Amino acid sequence: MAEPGTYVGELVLTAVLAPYMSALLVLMVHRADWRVSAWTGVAGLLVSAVSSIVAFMAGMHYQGEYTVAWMPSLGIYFSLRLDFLSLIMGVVVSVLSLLIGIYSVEYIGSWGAPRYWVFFTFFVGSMMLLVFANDLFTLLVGWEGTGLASYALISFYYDDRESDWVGDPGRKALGVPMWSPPTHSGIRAIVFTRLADAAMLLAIGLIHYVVGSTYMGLLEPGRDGFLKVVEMVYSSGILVPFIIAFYLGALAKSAQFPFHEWLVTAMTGPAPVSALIHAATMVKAGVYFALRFTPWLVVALASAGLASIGGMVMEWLLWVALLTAFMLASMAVVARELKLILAYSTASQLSYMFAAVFAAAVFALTHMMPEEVLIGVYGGLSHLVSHAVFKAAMFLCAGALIHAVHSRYITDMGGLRKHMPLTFTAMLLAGLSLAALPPFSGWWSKDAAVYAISLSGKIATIMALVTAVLTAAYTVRMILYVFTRAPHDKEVHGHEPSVLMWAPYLVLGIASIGLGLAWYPFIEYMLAEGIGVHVKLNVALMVIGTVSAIVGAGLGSVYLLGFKPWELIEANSFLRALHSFLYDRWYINALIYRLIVYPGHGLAHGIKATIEYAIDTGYHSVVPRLMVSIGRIVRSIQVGDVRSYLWLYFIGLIVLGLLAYYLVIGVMGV
Amino acid sequence: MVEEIVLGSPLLWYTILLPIIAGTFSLVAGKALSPKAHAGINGLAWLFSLIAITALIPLVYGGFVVVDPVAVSIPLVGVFALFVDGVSIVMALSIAAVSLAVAVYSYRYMEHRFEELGIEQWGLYYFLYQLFTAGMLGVVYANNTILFYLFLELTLIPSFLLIALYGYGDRVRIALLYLVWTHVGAGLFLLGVILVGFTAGFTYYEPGYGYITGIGEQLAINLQNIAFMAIVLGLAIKAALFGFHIWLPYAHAEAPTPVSALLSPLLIGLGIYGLLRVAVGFFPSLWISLTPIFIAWSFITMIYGGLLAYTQDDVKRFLAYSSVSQMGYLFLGLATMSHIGFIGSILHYVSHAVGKAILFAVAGILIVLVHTRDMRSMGGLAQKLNYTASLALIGFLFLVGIPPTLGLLSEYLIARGLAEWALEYSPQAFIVVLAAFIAAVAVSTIYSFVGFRRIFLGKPGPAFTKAKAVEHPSLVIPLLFLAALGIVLFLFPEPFVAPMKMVMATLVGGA
Repeated sequence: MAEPGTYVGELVLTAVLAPYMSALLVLMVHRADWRVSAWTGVAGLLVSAVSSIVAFMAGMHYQGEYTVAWMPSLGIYFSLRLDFLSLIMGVVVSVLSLLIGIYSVEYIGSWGAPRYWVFFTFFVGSMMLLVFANDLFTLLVGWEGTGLASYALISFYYDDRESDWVGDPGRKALGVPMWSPPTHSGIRAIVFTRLADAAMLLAIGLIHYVVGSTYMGLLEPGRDGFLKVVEMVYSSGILVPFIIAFYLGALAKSAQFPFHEWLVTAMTGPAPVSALIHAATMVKAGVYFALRFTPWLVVALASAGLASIGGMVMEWLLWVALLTAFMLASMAVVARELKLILAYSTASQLSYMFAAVFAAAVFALTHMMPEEVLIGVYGGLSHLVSHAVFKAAMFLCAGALIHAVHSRYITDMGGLRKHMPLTFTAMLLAGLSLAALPPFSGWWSKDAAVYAISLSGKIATIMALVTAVLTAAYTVRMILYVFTRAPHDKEVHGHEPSVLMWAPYLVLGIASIGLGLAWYPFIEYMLAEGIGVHVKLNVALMVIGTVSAIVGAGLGSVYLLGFKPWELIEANSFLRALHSFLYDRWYINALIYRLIVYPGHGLAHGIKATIEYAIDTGYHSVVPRLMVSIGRIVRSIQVGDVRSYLWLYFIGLIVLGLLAYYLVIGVMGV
Repeated sequence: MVEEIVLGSPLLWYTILLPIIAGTFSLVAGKALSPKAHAGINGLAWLFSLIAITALIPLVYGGFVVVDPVAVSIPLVGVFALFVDGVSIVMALSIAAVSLAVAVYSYRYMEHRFEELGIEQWGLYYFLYQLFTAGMLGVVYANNTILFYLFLELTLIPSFLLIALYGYGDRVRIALLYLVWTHVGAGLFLLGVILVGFTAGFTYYEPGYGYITGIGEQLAINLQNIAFMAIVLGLAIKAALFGFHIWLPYAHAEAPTPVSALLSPLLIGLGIYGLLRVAVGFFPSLWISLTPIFIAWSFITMIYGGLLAYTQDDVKRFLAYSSVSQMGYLFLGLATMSHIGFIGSILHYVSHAVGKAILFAVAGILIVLVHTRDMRSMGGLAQKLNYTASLALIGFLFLVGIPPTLGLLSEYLIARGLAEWALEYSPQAFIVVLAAFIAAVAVSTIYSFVGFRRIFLGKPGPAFTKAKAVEHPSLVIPLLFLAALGIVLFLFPEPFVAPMKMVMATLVGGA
């Protein structure tokens, strides 16, 4: 329970339930005017945001909980957790969702409005639930809820209109279509995430079995829950698969290789949905999971004397994250679709957050200093917060741009700075933050993440810095393409959207520099205090990081000089191949379809034609025919001759006798 | 320990008999009543039963086994009585709720079907309907294997007739096929329980005494094996587990759709219930020794059924294969031999009952409004059929285990049982089970959402233009009621889970 006399628990409960209540209300008034749906939704988000902020202000310095016995007989509780991490996440999620919600009102308009607002608010409620969850099953409810909402919103344009596809219609890689209509993307999202969730379900089930409860308080350092679990799974020889299964759901949700494919095609959803998925909900869930549980797991592994094997698994996870960071950044460099660039960027940035946590975990385990993992939590959380702000701004800008130009390709845009100055300002502020240039918030937070990554060694650091170069390059390329470069072939006209739309992203754009200016010492102090870690500035690393960003930005600016890389690529067969490789997403999508999806489809039809056919004809054709033939044979015995009947009678008796012997006498051992 | 409470009046019998009386009244009244009145009377009877069962929840939650006062002692066979405990109450509740919803839903659907057939037999339809559904309620109340068998037989003949009279396609042949298969299953079960019974008894709950478990293992070892095999095979046929599933797609696809909505989730799940009470209950050690085989069998059923569902083009065959796959989930819970896995199975019975009843009813709405079962000609129907599409999505959520439906809880508890089994069994088992579970969940998710897409989303198919966009409230509201029930059970499961845990403890030992 929270401290006596405090109301923070109730506030947090309100913050979690308000969006759910909105979802229910919108459902009930679904026949009303679309504005009713929209503002009912926004009202719930507003209540949630205000409650979260007040709860954060009041409660950031103590730990508490709000617990209701849900299924006490099974050790399952509805429990909300009030600590720094959950409270600050609550603020980030609910405030961003509110801004995105306000933007959505006009962006969505009337078509599909009730459906949109039901799932939008359900999405936010589920995310809030999983952020505040203090019980693994409670967490699972929020977790799977976000999965459902993302499915519904990604396939929001369920009539599969071509303007909302992702990828170039007609383009194939290894014979696999590289475009995806909304309803296809929705299925990809839910299948990719749920198959990994199945592993998480088993891992949580295992914890539940060993600890006897899903209550997370029992897993904290100082309680022996996690220690018992790791000791038990280690002695059973399944520590490694357990840790992987435990994290698999988080990796899939946060689009780490090879699960990143769902996030890429998720761009079929409306732009505010992309903003919601990328900034506030869904993909941040996996990172939050890692921030929440990795320190506990590290402590348990260290105290169980399993630091080396645990460190090994953490290192694998670290490399998955770094690979994802680099891979997706490299794809963003050649992408032509505005939202796709941002999507690649998200997966890549999420990997920074993961890598920070896992690298610090590796360091903590190899040096037997479990508390050092908090450096990674600091890096990961910092980047999560700043990324949420600038990425939300960028997606909302993208929505306005695509809407204005009627094309999702940056190659169809250009020179929009003049027509859409507010959008340009917001995009520039957010973009420079993504590029990690000083003094934007992304600069501080990426350095914090890179610092944590650097704990695990030089190669990881280099990998992170190379990715930083690419990040700055593709960001600058995108902004130049859209806003300053002269339009490619035709005159591009744009116009600013209404204030309800531009105000949210302008606020977010300004926030990304505001946060940056206030970062040191205020925000850094708050985050470090909250997490309980002392972070010192690593000036040398910050300089290298900044130089990387500037180099990247410089590379991206080649367009300013009138340089046309496309002509170079056309002329050179190696560059052409490299371009296709990156443009077709390293052929990973094609390989997934070639190796899993198509064979699976073939398998299903194959067993239908073979096994199922055999079973069907076996039972329904062979057996009846057999019966008919037996009938004929039996008829032929019935010749009316008493002697042959007597013979058969004797044979029957012998058979019965043998049976009786087997069943009765044989058993008694007489 | 579980305490017993004997009711002052034979309430459990009332909940069975009232629907039958209403059905008989329908039969006698025949054309004298309007179709609406038929639906009303039979629906009301089920409403009464549902309320009566709901009223028993506090008693069961309080830790009591509720026994009906009417008990008959039969020579050689033991006591016949009706009882309700943590396990059966939640099943009885779902049977009553689905029977009520489908009784109301039937009215509009059968109107359409009777028109097609050029007949009008409301009285007979509801009479058979009530016998069928009330028989299922009897099965879960039964305290004795023979009584269990008798009630099971009570369900077979009416359901056979419903298929033969009002089904689709080659309906008489398929009805016979159904009859033969289920009788082989029931016959094997009967053989098994008789083998056990003559040595050790037929009763699994004895009023005044309590649960009777492990008696099968008093038999000589060879007899024991035969009896156990007969019971497991017999009920595996009822539950349509892999290898014995082939009758199900025929029967459930060609049955009149309200009957499919009862057959598919309610009746076949009783096979799993029987396995719990009789196979696990009478032969716990034998069951434990075979868990690896059963786990493999359930995974094969889950994945095989799911893959075949994926390949179907007929919406009812699609749902029928999905039921095969879902029975794999139920069986998996039992195969873990952990009390939480058992609870997961029973809750998944409920979840599947709600979800699959909704889905079959949705298929019925498609038949009435779109006049086709062919998914190849569908597509984009959500544009015309908003409520139907929403209901179908909710139905799939129950199957796949996504909140806010009970499916998440049942799926999680099955996984929880599986984790326990694997940890106790061997390290390799955990890895194999992990891979298999991922595959099964992936296959279920794929066929559900791909199927949903083929019917309702994307570009409008050829059937779109002729689809009527009039979603009658009498088709939709019963389904909303079921969905709401499944969500309420998810939010407040403790009254069912707590007593269920006590019952399971008597089967597995410990808690």
